[in-house]
Amino acid sequence: MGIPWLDIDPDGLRHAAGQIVDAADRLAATPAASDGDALLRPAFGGPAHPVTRLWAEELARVVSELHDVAGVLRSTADSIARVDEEISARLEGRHG
Amino acid sequence: MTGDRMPLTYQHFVADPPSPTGGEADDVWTEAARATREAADELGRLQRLVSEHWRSGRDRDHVDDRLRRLVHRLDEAHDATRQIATALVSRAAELAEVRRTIREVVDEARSVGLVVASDGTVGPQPGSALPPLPVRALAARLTTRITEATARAAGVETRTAALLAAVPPPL
Repeated sequence: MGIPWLDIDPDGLRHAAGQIVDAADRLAATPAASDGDALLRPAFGGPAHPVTRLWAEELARVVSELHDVAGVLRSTADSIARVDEEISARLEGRHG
Repeated sequence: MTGDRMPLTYQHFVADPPSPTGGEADDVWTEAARATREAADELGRLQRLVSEHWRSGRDRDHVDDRLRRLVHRLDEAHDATRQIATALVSRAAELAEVRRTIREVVDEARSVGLVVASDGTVGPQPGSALPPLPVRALAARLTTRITEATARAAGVETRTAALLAAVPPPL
């Protein structure tokens, strides 16, 4: 933990945020989440069943929300890092 | 597979086969089922990691709850995509068998000088003399095999539609 008195580790949060984005990108790369045309290509032809479109849309929403949560984690990490720098600077000023 | 779709006919099965490059719906949903399982497992691990790096503070519980709900949604997506994949993979395999049967019939008909009409009826070349009785009997048997194969395809479509209709939609 970088800043024990805040119970939060900005570097750890940034790292986790990056891994969440990686997971979101892997999910987004699957054709069901990214290629609407694929839904219209059932073998031997015919339209997609409505439920397949609903789940494709759900996957896209999950991908979007994962990016959003990663953004919150990064934003929190940045805020905490700034607080850490300010407190460190004050402590250095007091003891320096 | 939907109520308004055209039924599969003899013509569907003698047309060009699906692209061998992939991208058909059965492949798409098999891949989606695998990806959602991986994503749910990975996000569960990351939720625990975030908790280790963020033990208290404003918004911490809210973010933890969002991650927990996302894991749950991915679990549900995995269950649904696996059901969709199972239905579509089974459909593709059964319809491929129908295609093989129909193509065998077409080859057999052609080997004795018979032709298959666009409606799947097997008979002599238009304008040709009436073939001998055994050949006409063979034509009737081949027509029956095509009729039975397309009926089997219709059953596959009905069963697939029922399986897909049973897949719960996202909440």
